[in-house]
This record gives sequence, structure tokens and C-alpha cells, in this order.
Amino acid sequence: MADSYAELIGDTLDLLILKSLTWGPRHGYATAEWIDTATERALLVEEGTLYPALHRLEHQGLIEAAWGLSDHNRRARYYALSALGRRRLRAETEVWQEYAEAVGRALAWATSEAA
Amino acid sequence: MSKIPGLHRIFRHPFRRHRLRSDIDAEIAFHLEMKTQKLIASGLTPEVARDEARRRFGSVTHAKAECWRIGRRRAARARAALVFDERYQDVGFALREFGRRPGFTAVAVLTLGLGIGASTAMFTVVDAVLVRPLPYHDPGRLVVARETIQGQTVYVAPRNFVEWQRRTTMFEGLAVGFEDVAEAFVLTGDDEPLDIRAARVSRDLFALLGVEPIHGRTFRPEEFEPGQDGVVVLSEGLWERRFGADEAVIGRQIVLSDRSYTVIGVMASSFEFPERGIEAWRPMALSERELQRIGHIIPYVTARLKPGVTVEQARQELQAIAAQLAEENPQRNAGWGTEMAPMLDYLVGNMRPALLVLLGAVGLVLVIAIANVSGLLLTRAIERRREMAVRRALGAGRWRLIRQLLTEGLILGLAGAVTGLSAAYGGVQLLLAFAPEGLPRMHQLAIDGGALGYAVGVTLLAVIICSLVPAWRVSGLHPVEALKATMVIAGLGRASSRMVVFGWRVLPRHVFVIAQTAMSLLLLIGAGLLIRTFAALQQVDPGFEAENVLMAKVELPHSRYPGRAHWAEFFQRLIEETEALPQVRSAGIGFPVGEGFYYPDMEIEGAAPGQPTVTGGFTTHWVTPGYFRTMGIPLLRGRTFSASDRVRDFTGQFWLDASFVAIVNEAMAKRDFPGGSPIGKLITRGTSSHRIVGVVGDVKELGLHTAAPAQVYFPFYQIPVSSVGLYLRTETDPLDQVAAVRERLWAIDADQPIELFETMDAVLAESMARQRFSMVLMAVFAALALALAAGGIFGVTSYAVARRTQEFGIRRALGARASGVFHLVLFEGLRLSLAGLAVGLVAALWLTRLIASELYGVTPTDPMTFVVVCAVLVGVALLASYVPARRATRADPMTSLRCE
Repeated sequence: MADSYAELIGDTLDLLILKSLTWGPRHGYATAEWIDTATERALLVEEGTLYPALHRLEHQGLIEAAWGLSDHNRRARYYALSALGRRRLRAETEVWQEYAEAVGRALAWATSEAA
Repeated sequence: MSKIPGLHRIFRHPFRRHRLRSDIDAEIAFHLEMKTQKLIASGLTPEVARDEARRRFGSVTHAKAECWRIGRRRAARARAALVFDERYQDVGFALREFGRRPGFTAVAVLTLGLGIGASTAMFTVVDAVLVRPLPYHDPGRLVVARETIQGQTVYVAPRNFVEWQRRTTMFEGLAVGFEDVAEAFVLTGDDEPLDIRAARVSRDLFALLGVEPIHGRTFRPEEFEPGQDGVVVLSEGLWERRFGADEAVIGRQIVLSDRSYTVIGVMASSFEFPERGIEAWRPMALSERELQRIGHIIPYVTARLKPGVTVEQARQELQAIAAQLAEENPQRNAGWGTEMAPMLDYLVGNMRPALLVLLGAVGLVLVIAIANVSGLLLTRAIERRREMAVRRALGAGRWRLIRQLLTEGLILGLAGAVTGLSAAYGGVQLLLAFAPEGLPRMHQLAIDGGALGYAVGVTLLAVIICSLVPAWRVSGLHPVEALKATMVIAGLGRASSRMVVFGWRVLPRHVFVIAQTAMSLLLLIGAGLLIRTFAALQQVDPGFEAENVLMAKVELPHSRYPGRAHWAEFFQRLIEETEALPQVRSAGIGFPVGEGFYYPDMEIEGAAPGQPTVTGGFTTHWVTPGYFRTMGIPLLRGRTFSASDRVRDFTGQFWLDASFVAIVNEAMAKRDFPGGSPIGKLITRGTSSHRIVGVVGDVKELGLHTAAPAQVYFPFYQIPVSSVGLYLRTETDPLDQVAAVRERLWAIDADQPIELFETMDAVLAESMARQRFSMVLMAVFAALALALAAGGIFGVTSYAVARRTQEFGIRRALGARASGVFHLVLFEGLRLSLAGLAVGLVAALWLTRLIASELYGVTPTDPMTFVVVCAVLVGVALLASYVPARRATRADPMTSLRCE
């Protein structure tokens, strides 16, 4: 099960990171926790892969990063959605939902046919 | 971004490598730690929790490496973008800043442009005339030698040149090239006859100078033998004009003054020897008889020193040879010396002092311009302290501020440079228009890149340094300190950089104003002295009445007019024909202006009876009876020439005729016949003797600024010459007669050209051209300097008034009258200019002797000039302070108190 999920991660992880930041700036750890919780730990098998993804998104200008203080007064690198990131998230979410619905419908239909 | 809590700084870019790496490490470490704590909180032991956190994270090394790779790429791009972006911002900001203050910007750019333009143009001229090497091989070793008599430099006799060639050891060679003034050269053929200037050159001339023809060859040794010298080298100009630049002209026969020559070569147009305008060169093939007979006709001898020989050594050797020659042949050579100078000095020597002074003057203008702009920038720097402090407080780094100011300075400087380039171009054209005709090497002018670069460089440097002052003042301080400092300065001001001289507070911008005023004073005094010189020259009586006199230069070719009888006949007819013109009052033949022959000696019947003495030098003129009347030269004693003073038959030894007469001028009468009358005395030149019949007024033929030489006039019809000036006194504008005169001449001989027409007014003006050139330029530079200094005083005073508005308000509120405030401000401006005046006067007293050689009729410390110039400067200073002072009196107590 884990392997097939992992193959999906590449595209989906970026989307989830953007989604996690819609409630405000978060540091990497908080983002990881949110994804874990939201996906019921189905997606982020290796948390380490989150960081290259964050940096890549920053590089693409979808998120912005700055050093700040965490709740426990520790230095942490915070990420925030940029205007570009926000637009991207909206667009990608629509595409994803259409796609997921279409795939879901198709799979459901095939299953019922077979049944 | 502002949503991020605990934000450190707005302007921060973690682009450095070590920062990137440690940031990644810290980020991941934070993650692992948070995870570990969470796992501990859920009940795991710390050790297990740490392992679990690492397990869930996956490969730390791989994650770090990935982040590092992305970070590097991002950093590279961001750095490029940022640099571009900030530059772009800087430029945009600077342009907006200038746009907000168009007055300041225009003044600064124009000032810089004028300074750069004027100095570049002047330097271009000086470089072209004085500095650029002559277009010959190794020109540093070329010298020019001439003969002297009684301290006066004169032409060289060919026979002496030949002796020098034989006897000297210090030279690689000596050579001559001299114009054939005794003979006119008319190029005839298919086209209309063309009068050209030709020179004769000695055997080694081309080799000595190291020049090669662009086509064909130069002369072979055997072509210097009389009879084999029918060869000619043409100038590129003549070759193009007359022969359509056809290479086939080499080997062709051309006819020059009815003699046939074979064209053997063409010289490039850069070859101007012995002077500009020579268009053909022939071999100097002189028979021994000619050599002994010909007088001093070679303007100068060109020689190349052997390597290692100094000019002084060569000079001494030549002097020794002159002494030898005098001993061997005292009759001809006694009293003759030699003089030698590097060739470049000889060609440009008399222009050097004037040009160097003008270069110095324009240098001062550049310094004043820079000082002015620096003053403006400094004043503005103080205004901008607050802006700098605010930007710094908002997080702009020190370098960012400096870069911003640097950009502003650069843009200002470059705008000035562009303006300067166009000003330099215009300036060079102007200088060319004003340059005296005799100014050598001027026609090769092109704007000098080095000079422009230098002027722009100096200006840019000054502008940039001044632009950086606000950064230097503020950026070093902590933002809060900087803001506080600004508050202090914006208040009544306890500024730091301040000198105290004689109890006065002197600020840097005050120093600029003082310096400007001092330098303007220097230039104004220089201009004043030159203007007085020019005025004095115009008051000088040249010795003749120049108004409405036309001169035409006519040279008869010896081929068609072989002897004196022909010359006499031709010119007599010419006088009759032209005098018949309705607008011509009288006509006479004399020597063309400035071409009077100089004779070193002549035997005269001196004061001691029966004891012939030898006089000093004098100039000779062969004139017709109508000459004195036409020129308006007054007869003082005796008589002028009459129609009977003529030789009817020029065959045989006509020069032994006992009826020969002469007229001398007053200078000669005073010098050679002190206390007595020269009339009736006999003077003997060579074998012919002349009885003096009259004394006429002196003519300043060597220039208005020098005394008239001794002059002797011989009757033209007793000794006719072939090359003359025809002088006509006309009723109206003399130039109206040009066509008519030409027509009359061609009625006598259709093939005879007239070399040039000139009015005597123009000749007089041309004789003052050098002084006019210096005067006009100095006046322009001084006016520029004065305007700039006035601007400087105005700027500083206005600024002081603006800063002290509050103070004036308080003063008014406390009962000061408007006139009190007015005088306070006026005195402020005056104080600075008086200080500048004092400095300038000291400098002027010391420096004006540098232009002493350019002055006439006025001393370098002429009190009148000094007083007038000081008055002008004080007046301008008052005027420049007047407007700000008026503004100060309008300071309303209430408004100004509310200002703060």
C-alpha cells in the first residue's frame, strides 16, 4: 500500500504543502504534522522529503520563507503562501478535484459493472 | 510576509553559502527535535523517541543535499535578479530624484558640461599645436637653424647653408626647403592658369625628414645638377584638384611658368614643408654663381642631430662656424651669427605662452565648475540627511545607500559629460573660427579623446565624492543615532564639521565659494588686461591710413616677363588702367604687406663727413610715386619720388646711374643721422648708390606692438621688381573694386593671375588676430567663471536664508527691522566674496606676470584693471546675495515660528 501511495506523492505533496499554509505561516515541522493529521499519515511516509519540496516551492516563488520564533521561543524557518502560491493552489485544487472525481467515478463504475 | 511572527529584517537575503548550509542544518534539526519531544510526550523514552523521529524523517543526508542543491540554484538566480533589480531601482530612484528638482539638475548638468566642454576644446587646441609630434621620422632630433644680425633673426643665405653642410659634425644632415618667392609659378595647360606656391628643396630633405611619397619617388642626386632639374613632386591636394587623383600623372610633363617639368611623385597632404600651402617641390639646383649671388632667402635650415648630441652642443658648433666664416669673409659675414631651436619650438614658439595661459585659464573654469557642483551637492546632502536616516532606519544597508548615491552621482556626471562633449565640439569649431591665421597646425584639429576622458574623469570623481557625502555622514551611524543627529541638524544646528578661521565659522561649502570667487577674479583680471592690450593696440597709429585701401598681390612670371623693362612697363600700364577706374582715387606699387626685404647693412654717409659707416638693418621697399599718397604715409621733409626718377634703359650697368634716389623713414633718420638731416646724403647698397631726397613717417610693418624698423624706399621705376603689391585708394568699400581691377589686369594680359586681394583694414585686423584670439577666449572664460561664481554665492546664501528662516522670524518678533535682516544676509554673501577677493588679489599680483609677454600698453599689475575687476566682482556678489536677502526680510514671525 505504502509503495503505490509514494508514487503519487511527487505531485500531491506540493499541493498539500500549499494547502497547509492557507491558515497562515507555518514552519516545516508544523506543515509535516498537518499533512500527517490531514491525510491520516497515509501520504508523508518519509518526513525528510518535505524539505526539498518546501525549498523547491520557495524557489518557484509559490511560498516565501523567513526566520522567526516558534511558540517555544525557538528559531524556526517559517513559510508563507505568496500571492502566486495562492493562485496556484486554487487552480490546482480545482484540477485535482475534477481529476479525482473523474477517476473515482470511473473506478466506481467499473467496480459496479464487474460486480 | 508581515504575517510572519518575530520578523527580523525586511531587507535580508541569505545568499551566502555558509548561511545557506547552516540554515538547512538548523531547519532540519528543529524538525527532528520537535518530533522527538512530541514522541517523548506520547510516552517513549528519549532515546527511542530520537530514533523514531529519525526513522520517520528518512535520509537526513539526502534531504540536506536536495535542499542545498535547490538553495544554490535559487541563490544564483536571486542574486542576479537582485543586483539587476537594485540597479534598476537605483537608476529609477535617481531619475525621479532629479525630476523632482529640475532646477538643481539643469544647473549642475550645464555647469559640468560647460566646464568639461571648454577645457576639452582648449586642450584639444593646445595638444594639436604644442604637444603632438611633428609628422616626421623621430622629430625630437630635428632642429631649425637661422642666421642672426644684431640680435635679429633673419633668413639664411644659400652660400652659408652650403658652408654649414660642409663644416658641421654634430648633424646627421642639414637640408632646406624654401618657397620660390622671387618667381611666380603658373600651372598652365588644358585648364585655366593656376597660380601655385612651389618650394625648392635641397638634396637630402625628404630623407632627412623621413617622409615617403604616396606615389612615385622623390629626387635623385643627379637631379640637383643645373640642367637636369626639370622634375617636380606634387602635393596630394594639387594632384587631386588638377589631375583627378590619377596615378598616371607620374612621368607626365607639365608646364610651370612656361618651363616643362616631369612629375615624379606625389606627397601626402600631411606633408607641409616648409609651410602649409606649398603644392609643388623642385630640386634646388644652384650654380656656383647663383649660390654666391643669392641673398638671405631661406627661411630656415632644417637639421637632424646625431643621436646623443644636444641642441646646445650643436648650437655652439654652428656659432663657431659662423665666426669662422666671418673671419674668412668679413665683407659678407661680419656681424652674422646663428640661432638654433628644436623644430617644434620654432614652428609654434610664439604661440606657446598665450596657449598655455589660456589652458591654465580654462583649467580654472573647470575647477570652478566642479567646485560649484560640489557646493550644490554638499548643500543638498545636508537637506537629504533626514531622508538617508529614514531609509537607514527602515533597514537599508550602508552599501545600499552608498550605491544609491553613487548611481545619482554617476548619472549626473554622465549627463554632464554628454553635454560637455557637445560643448567641446562647438568649442573647437569656435576656436577654429577665431584662431589667427598664423596659428600653426590648427587645421589638423579633432576633439582629443584623452583630454575629454581626463576632464570627464576628474569631474566624475569630484561629483561622486560629493554625492557620497550624505552616505558618509549618516550611514556609519546607528539608525537611531542618525535620526537623532538629523533632528539636531534640522533644529538650530550644532553641526560637527566646521572650521574656525579668524573667528569665522567656515563651512566646506563656504570654502568652495571663496575659491570660486578667487579664481574668477584671476580670470577677470587676465581678461581685463588683455582687453586693455587690445584697446591699446587699436589706438596705435600704424603709420598709414588703412581705410578704403585695397591691395592686390601680383607676381609676373619671369618666363613671359624676362626683364626689368618688362616689369616697369607692365606695372605702369596697370597703374594707369586702374587709376582710370571711377571709384579709384589713386594707385601705387609697393611691396606686398609684410614682405618688405630685410637688409642687414648698407654704407651711408654718416655724421662724420667723408667717413662711410655701416648701419644696422632696415627693410627696403620699391615703390612708385603714387604709393605714399595712396597709403597715406606722410612726407615729413624733402620730396617724394617723381616721374623723372626712372631708368629709361635697363641694358648694361644701369645700376651705376648717378641719378638714383631714395627716401628714408623717420626712424632711420633718427638712428643714422642724429642731429642732422639725411637729405642729400648718399647711401650705398652693394654697387648702387642712392641720394636721399626725402623723409617719410614710420610704418609699423613688423606689427603694431613693435616699433617701426628703419625703412628705405627706392623708386620702382629705377629698380623694378616682378613681385609687387598694387595699392588702390578707393572712394567706397575697396572690395567693390575687385572685379573691375581684375578686368583691367586681364585686359593687359589675359594669362596673368592675381594672387590675392585684401583690404588694409583686414590686414591690420589680421595683425592683431593673435591678441584678439587671446582676448576673446580669456573674456569668455572669465565670463563663464563669473557666472559660475555668482551662482555659487547665490546658492550658498539662499540656502543659509532657507535654513535660518526661523531665526529671522524670531529676530523680527523681537523687534529687528526688515532692513536689519536684509543687511545681515547681504553681509553674509559679501563676506564670502570679500574673502575670495583677498585670496584672488594675492594670486593675481603673483600670476599676471605670466601673461606679461602678451600685453601691450598696460602693466601686469595695472591698478585700473584691478580696481574695475574688484568692483565688478563685488557688484555681482551683492546682486547674487540681493535676492536671498529680500526673501529673508519677508520671513513672517508667526509662520517661521510654526515651522518646527
